Amino acid sequence: MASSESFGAFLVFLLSTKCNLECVYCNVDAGPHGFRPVLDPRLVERWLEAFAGLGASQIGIQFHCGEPLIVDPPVEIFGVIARNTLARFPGATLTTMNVQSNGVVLDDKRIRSLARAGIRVHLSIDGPAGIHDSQRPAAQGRGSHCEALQAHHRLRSHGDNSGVISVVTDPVQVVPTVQFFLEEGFHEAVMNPVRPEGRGAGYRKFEEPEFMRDMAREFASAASLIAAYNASSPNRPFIEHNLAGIMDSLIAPGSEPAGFHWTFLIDGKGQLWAHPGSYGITSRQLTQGELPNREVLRSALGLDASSVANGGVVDGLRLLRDRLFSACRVCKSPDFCIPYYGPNHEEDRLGPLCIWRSELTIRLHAWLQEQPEMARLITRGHRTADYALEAQ
Amino acid sequence: MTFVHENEAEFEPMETTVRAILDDVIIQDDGIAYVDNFPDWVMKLRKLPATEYTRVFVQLAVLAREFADAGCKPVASALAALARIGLTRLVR
Repeated sequence: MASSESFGAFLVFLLSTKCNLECVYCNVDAGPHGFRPVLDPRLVERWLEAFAGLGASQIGIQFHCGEPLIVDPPVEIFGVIARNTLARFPGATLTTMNVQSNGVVLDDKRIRSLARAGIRVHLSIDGPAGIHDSQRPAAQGRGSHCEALQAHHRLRSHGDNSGVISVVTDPVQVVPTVQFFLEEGFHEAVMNPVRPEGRGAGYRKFEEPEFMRDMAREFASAASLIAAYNASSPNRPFIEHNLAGIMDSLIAPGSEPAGFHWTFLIDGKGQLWAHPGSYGITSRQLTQGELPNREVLRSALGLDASSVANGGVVDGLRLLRDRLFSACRVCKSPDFCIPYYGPNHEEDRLGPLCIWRSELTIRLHAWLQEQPEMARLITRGHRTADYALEAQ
Repeated sequence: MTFVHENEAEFEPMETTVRAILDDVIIQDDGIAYVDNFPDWVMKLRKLPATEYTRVFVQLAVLAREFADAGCKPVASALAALARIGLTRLVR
């Protein structure tokens, strides 16, 4: 019997690979040089129509690049297109709309403009200047930490303590980065191991199990720091969403949000990819140049017409997700068991990210047994982060 | 609700492009309101030289205000965004 479970889609639009930085690990090879087209706004409308028409009751949107604040048409126009499109579908709620920015061109005027368009800004900051500048330089080699931090403080002066995505390339960065976020009064961050794609493909230390065990140990140390900070600042706690997510699952297993949620990526040519572990892995590419509409989406997701008509979309989506992403015995969730971090489906060998996650889970579990009150201080409470769905 | 195009005798003539955009405004009885073909209008207006088509963008801004005053926020926001395509270039 077909399920009528609700279906939530988080759509990441890669507007362009145009960027004013040249991050050393960029997984889409973004940069300032060469001709870099921008996604046709009509394709944004068509994909939104397709997802809403398929019955998605919740739609979240992220505009990603490159640097979305330097594309033309401006990202605010894409935001208006999204709202105008979804206005036709009263059954679909726009849950969030944000940009993932490096903050370099974010001034007060732009903050007001983005707020007017209903677009929230999430920043990419990799920690203190020494770490950030070595990983996120402009084309001339100059770091971008000063601008990124200014952007964060500007947003705070407008009442928005922005969410942050931070990329970790080495275990030794974890604790200093968390210390930096705490000292600077950040509210929340998601710290992700670098994705070895594009310019990040050189980070192959991740294939060494000991490297990932070190990573887990450092994350566990960072968890203690966060708990101590939150104990002394109960009204302004800091959340790191990887740690919080694991701790939440240890405290209340199976308490995931109701309904079926899946993140999809639409690249600069308007092609649909399944997330996670999407861009660059051919099997995750769901369309091959078709002009998007509801039927193309239905076909791309392997849904038959009758299941769509009977509200059984989620059953079909679960089948596709199980086929595309098979999580290992440790991770259980495809959100963490991601093949681009290395091999992970050999019975006797876990993938790098699986090692990190399983080792970290063991450490956090032991901490929860020994010091439950402290351990609980790193959980999300009522907060969630849509950007925690994204890798970098 | 009185819009500019219903009282043309009292106002400057409505630009052809603006009238066409207005024709794409959909307001349904169930409260659904939007601008049809919106991305197409974005692309078309971006190609217009702002200095030669000042009246198009000003009229769009006026219409956006009228829809806002009438409580039709979705259409007002969409028209305002179209107006800004030219107005931001004009004030540079």
